[in-house]
Amino acid sequence: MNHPTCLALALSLTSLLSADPPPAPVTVTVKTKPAQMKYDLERINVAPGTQVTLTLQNDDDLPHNLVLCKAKNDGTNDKGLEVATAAWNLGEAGMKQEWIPENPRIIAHTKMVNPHQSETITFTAPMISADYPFVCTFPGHAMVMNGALHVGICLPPIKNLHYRYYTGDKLVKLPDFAKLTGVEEGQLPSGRMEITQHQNDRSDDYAYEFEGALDCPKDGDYTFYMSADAGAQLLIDGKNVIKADGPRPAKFHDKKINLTKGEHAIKVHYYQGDAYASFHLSWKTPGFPEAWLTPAETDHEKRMDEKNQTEGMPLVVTNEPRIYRNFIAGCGPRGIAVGYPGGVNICWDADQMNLALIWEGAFMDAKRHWSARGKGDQPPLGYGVANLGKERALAVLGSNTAPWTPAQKNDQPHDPAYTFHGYELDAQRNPTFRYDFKGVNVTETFVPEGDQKSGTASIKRIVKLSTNKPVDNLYFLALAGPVEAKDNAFNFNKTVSVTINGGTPLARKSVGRDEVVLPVVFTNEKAEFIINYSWNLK
Amino acid sequence: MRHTFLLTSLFSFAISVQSPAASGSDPKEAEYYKIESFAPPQDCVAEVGSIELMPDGKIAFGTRRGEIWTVENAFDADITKAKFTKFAEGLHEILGLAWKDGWLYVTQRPELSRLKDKDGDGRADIFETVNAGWSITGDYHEYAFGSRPDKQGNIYVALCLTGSFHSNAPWRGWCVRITPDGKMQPFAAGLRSPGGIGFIPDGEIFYDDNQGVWNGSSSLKHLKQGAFEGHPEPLKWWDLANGALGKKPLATVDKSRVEAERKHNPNYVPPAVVLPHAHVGNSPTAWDWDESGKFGPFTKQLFIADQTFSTLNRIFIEKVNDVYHGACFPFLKGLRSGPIGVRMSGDGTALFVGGSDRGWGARGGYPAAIERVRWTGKVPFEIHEMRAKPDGFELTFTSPIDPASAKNPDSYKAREYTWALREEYGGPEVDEVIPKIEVVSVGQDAKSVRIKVTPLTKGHVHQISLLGVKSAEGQNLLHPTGYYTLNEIPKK
Repeated sequence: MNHPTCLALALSLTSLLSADPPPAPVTVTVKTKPAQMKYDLERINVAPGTQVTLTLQNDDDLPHNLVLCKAKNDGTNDKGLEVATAAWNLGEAGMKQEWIPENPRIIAHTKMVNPHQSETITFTAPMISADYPFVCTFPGHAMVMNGALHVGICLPPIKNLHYRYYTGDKLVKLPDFAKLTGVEEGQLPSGRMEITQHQNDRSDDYAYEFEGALDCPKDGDYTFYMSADAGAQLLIDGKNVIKADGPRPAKFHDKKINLTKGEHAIKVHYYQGDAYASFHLSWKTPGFPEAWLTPAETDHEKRMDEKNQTEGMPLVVTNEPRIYRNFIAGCGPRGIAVGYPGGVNICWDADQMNLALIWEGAFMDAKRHWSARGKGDQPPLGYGVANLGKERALAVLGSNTAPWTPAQKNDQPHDPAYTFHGYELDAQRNPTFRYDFKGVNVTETFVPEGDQKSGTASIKRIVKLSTNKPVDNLYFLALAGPVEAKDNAFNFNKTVSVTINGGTPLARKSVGRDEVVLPVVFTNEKAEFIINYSWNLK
Repeated sequence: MRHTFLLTSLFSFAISVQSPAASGSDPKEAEYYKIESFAPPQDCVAEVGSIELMPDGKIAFGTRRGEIWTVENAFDADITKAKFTKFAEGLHEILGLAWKDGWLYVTQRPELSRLKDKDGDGRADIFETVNAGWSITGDYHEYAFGSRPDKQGNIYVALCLTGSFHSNAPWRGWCVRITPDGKMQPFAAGLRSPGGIGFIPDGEIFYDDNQGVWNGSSSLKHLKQGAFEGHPEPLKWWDLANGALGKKPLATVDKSRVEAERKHNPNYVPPAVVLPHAHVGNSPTAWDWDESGKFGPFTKQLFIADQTFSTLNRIFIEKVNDVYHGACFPFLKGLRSGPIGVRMSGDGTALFVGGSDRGWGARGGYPAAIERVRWTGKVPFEIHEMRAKPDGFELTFTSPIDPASAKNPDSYKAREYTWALREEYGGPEVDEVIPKIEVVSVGQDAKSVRIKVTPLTKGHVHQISLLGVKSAEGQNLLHPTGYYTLNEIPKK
């Protein structure tokens, strides 16, 4: 793709329009990734008012569409979720309408494109610089299948760009260009360094020198990002900026340098040894998004920014529960997240041995933990997150007014009264967690019910206790946090409605917070509670 | 950059067409040991953290993404016959696998677990926690590396610090022992950043620590009950052991030396084999050894991986005055990624190596890899063993040497050096000594040489390069340098 990369600056539109000729039309193809529920291109950059010809090529085995939307009324980027939700709410009519709701936010859309087919639409990009989300409105896809049309002003490509093409013999590192004899030279009016011009000539052992002028829009720090296979060197004003000599698989290197406003000489030496050849170079300065100085390939590994480090590897739950153990925000370092088919999820805390989180919608994004060193806690990917707290579920209390037992602290030795025993999967791969406390064996199983899409989602938590030496004054903490009793249910933190069966819930205020505790009464050495959490608030 | 080598390539050494080779293979080394890469299916990101041999002839590997895969036909001459099957997923950074009594024991960040496929569908369904007795604050550096079981069935877990410097929770910076009945016993303190834990052929437990604070260089270290490995921060949990480990060791003195610290602190265990930083590697991980002889001449020596250099080094270890020490030698370059898991097959026909460069980078350049190394049957001309003697060293060779070249003292070049024990990160080589080398004798079979090294310096690495020693056929040594860590000087 040769579209320019652009900037969302609050520039005066009139001055912009009078100063610049109309932007060149842009043609772009967005593909769907097979079996990944994702577009291959999640960001399209165009100048305001650009005529865009967009092809949605569906390489997946499910039908998908692409619906381009205005930003949400409050100006936030909801990734088109509001429009997608309106599509889901069409119910049966949705099929007939191809999941396109009547919604003022829609700017343009494709029809529902069947697997391995494509459709092309043409539209004019809005005049106002902003991110315009696009999304697949097929029910259930929107959480991960979205992107943004970025409308804004661009960092320019290279002025007066020239190339010289060389061939060599068995190149294994950057050659001394002064000693090479050029085969051909010419201009690149696109202003982007292309290494594919002679690909019909040979695939191995060649080199390019590119020279031109970079027009810096202001004084400041500019960061350059470069990856090359086999190798390349970037020089600005004759000075080395990045040297990535081969042969190595391509990796992005970056370097920040200070440049003054105006033109600077840019030179790149690139060489190819054998097999894969690639060259990517982009630049950025504060206030402008990153802009390519090479033809930007959408299928190439992009340099990761902070956002990309934590988003983009959603763990999709298909027909059986999926487990993800890691550092999970709202739980802790021993989080065991379970995503159930139907769009209901839990996170069980193996430090506290208690349920920590429940939520609806998408499960978890593994990008943070599966990139680089995997630092930090990752929150749930879905919505309707009920944060049940990091608390012990069982405790012996002196009386029913005594404060709840302290939680396990991460930096303290483990309380030997509680022992985690792991989990076992049933035939449907649904885990049952097991632990014991003072000789009481406890199991917890979760059964999702209803459906997230129809707004009837709930999850049933079945807690079974057994012991041959009953413990006196044993209590189970059902809820801790903002609780509002409503009929026979408790609304928790305005998120979920909770009903409790199998015990006598005692709502109390303790140390300044609401709690619902259950005295544990053993019958024939057994006790059982069923706690139901529903997002359908009463 | 090529991802598969063709015979028509500019490289002159022969390599099989179907097996993609590591990008940095050394043609000379490849004559003797060949690296072959498996091609996992697309849904398998083989960020290998540990490898185990399964009783049914498969291998299993656990990954940093928390998956366990089994590989059928891993020994087949045609590596493309390998068949990958996912056994388990959803675990947390797997850095230890061990098959025991019908269970696959898995050391993952939060716990030692054991897994079983109860219903026989090829996927684990029991995930039983054997022990989760250590704490985690949520720092990415708080890794847990698990050993295989010892003869009594104990599994040892090496617990990395919180970051590089701190032990913010029990038992960070410790080795703990998990008994067969699931009890955790604090075992040794003062670990910094373990990269691997396991045994040596005599059954003793070791780990390797990575260069950083209190570790001027990475090294292989002996773990014994109550031992102190040098990083003082984990000592703060000593009293939680309730006296089981005896008196609390003294904190290491900043800018001290190994020898001084041994005198100062009876629990302090000196590094057994230093892997000199930047000479042979940067970040040691797992190791294994061969007892069959089918992996070449280095029976019972350790092959230890280096994640950063994408290499294997070789270790000869011996015990003098009840203290372990020995030598390391470069062995094989050119692994694809940053190796973390290593397992030798029982029959010695393949050494399985796998890893990931995620977060740290490795010379191999690939983000993940599972590979195998096989001996071609050709014996490389190498230093075989290097033993400490009262006045120097005895070196043996894998094939006969040219006695004239071995008798010439100019064929040898030596340096002795160490590192300060510092609370700062890493540090330079210090206290350098250039010793005098005299050749005492060449063995009658022309496969050994006795050299006198004056002086010998306790606590120093003795780096000896045999640049002029030739084989009977006039060849140079494939790897001419040995690095001997001399903790004790034998009496005879």
